[in-house]
Amino acid sequence: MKNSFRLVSKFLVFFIAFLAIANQSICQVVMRSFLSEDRSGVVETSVNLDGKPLGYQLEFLSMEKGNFFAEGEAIQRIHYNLHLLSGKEKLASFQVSVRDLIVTYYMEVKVPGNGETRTITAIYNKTNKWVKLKGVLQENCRQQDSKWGRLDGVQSYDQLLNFILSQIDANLEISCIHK
Amino acid sequence: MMSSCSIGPSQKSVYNPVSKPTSEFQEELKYVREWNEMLYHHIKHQVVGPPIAARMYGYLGLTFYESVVGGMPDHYSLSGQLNDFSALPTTDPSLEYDWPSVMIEALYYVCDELLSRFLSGSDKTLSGLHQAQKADRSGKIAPEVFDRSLVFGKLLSEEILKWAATDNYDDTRFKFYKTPPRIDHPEYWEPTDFNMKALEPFWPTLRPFVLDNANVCPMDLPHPYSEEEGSGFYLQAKAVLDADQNLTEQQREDALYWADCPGETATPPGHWSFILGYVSEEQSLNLAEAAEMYALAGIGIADAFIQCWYTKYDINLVRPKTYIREVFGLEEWEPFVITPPFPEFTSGHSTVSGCVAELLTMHMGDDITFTDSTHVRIGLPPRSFRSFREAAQQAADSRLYGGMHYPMANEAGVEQGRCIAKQIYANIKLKEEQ
Repeated sequence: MKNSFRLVSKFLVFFIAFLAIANQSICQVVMRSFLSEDRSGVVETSVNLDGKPLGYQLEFLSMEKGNFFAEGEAIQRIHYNLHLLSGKEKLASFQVSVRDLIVTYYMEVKVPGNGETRTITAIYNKTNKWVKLKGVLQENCRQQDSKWGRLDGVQSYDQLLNFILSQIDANLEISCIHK
Repeated sequence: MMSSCSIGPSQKSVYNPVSKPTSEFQEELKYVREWNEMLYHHIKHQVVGPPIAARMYGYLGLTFYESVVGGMPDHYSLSGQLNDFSALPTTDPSLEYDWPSVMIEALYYVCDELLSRFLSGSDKTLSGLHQAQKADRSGKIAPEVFDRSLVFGKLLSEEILKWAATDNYDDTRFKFYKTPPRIDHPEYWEPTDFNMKALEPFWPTLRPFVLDNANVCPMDLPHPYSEEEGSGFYLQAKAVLDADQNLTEQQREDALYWADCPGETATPPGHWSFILGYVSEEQSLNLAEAAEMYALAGIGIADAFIQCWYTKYDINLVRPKTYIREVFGLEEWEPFVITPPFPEFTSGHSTVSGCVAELLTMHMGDDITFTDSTHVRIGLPPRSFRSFREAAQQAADSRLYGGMHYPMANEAGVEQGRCIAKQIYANIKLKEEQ
């Protein structure tokens, strides 16, 4: 009787541990492997294209890595090009870099215009799964009623990127950027 | 084995004349740097909050100093100078000791204990570093000196840890805190996000290292809470909103540089501790000079958090995020940097930065230039500063740009930090000519 109880207890411990690990891997939005991939998607109803779809391509370029005592190898920044598309026509391209930290994912999108560069910053909190964006853009590059938003309950990397791009679309007048 | 030479009621020389002076060691600073990095790594990965990190750096600085002060003529042990800290072993003045070996041993046991709540029993990083450092050191000195030094280092660590065990930290782990309700008190703080609860509300009950109590440097709220348009308080919140809506690229970078969030970094205490490492290298400090700096800064970091947390939970002020949403009607407004889970006034980063910068300025001067590379590991470029005060002011200003603090909390924080620094510097004496 005592042995059966021990066996059942052991099984339960392993089962709960398995469920916890499985749940964690399912829920993880930013997987390390995603960061070195090209990604693409569509903002279905674009502000810039009068309600038509706005395509985007995130083109992976490189990873900056360093070796640090106690830390070992760390990825410092990941570099991309971001292309905005109307159908197959390229509307604009931006330099993007990502810092993927333990509890936070930062994406910085460089916006050139008016002889200066401004930065849109997306901050994704991995623990609570929310993302928010901020950016003070050049005056002629701002959409009317520009307002940065936040999304709670992010469930996937594609959803995260889609929200970031929909926010950029809602706040940035793309025509002010050189192709 | 135990001996000491009393100078006054509180300052005690523990100089050992037959050992190589601490000031003749410089390369051995690498051992301290490695422990500093190890602590940083674990604080970051275990997502340790700023007050607990501050306590760790306090004991790290103290342990470093006490393990090498025996090789520093005209210097005093901090035994007898810190609150309830009186019983430290001393070396046998007729026998030789190797201060770096004492330090390696003492730092290991102290770091191991401080991190024990956060690391699993199977973690071998601390013992691995300890073994590697001992192996590195053992071949360079006579075996009997090495062994004697290790024994002394362990004894020292045991006494420091006994003292640490009575600082009330353990008691604060098991207390329940109920956030005061905001009904009829709109000025009160409330958590600014879901899944958030008040961080370390009982921290002010910790015993400070030097301060007589947790409220030696009180700060009054410069502007009483008001929702009236044009009132001082309203304008403080308006300043946060204006900064947010007109953020320059430089301000954006400053906000991220000094964010020092748990889980990304080792929090503001870890940032300042790394700065000490860069200053040591750039100024070519020897082990004795570095020990003074780490002791002062560590004590300052620890006491600054105790005092600041007293003010925070005493005044219990609402964060700009809550005020701007409620009073300005911007119901979805978000600050740029994540608002941390504790009351607003005074700003913790400003207080600790003001305190450390003032201590180091009093001790080393206002013209110490340095380059801070702490955040290169998280993709932020190094920054150069012309003085400690310049770095502290930038850290304080960054909290406005991040949207977490009203300007008055940053200004009062720096002022509070300076006050704490002056108290510390007036109440402990590291050396005769201080």
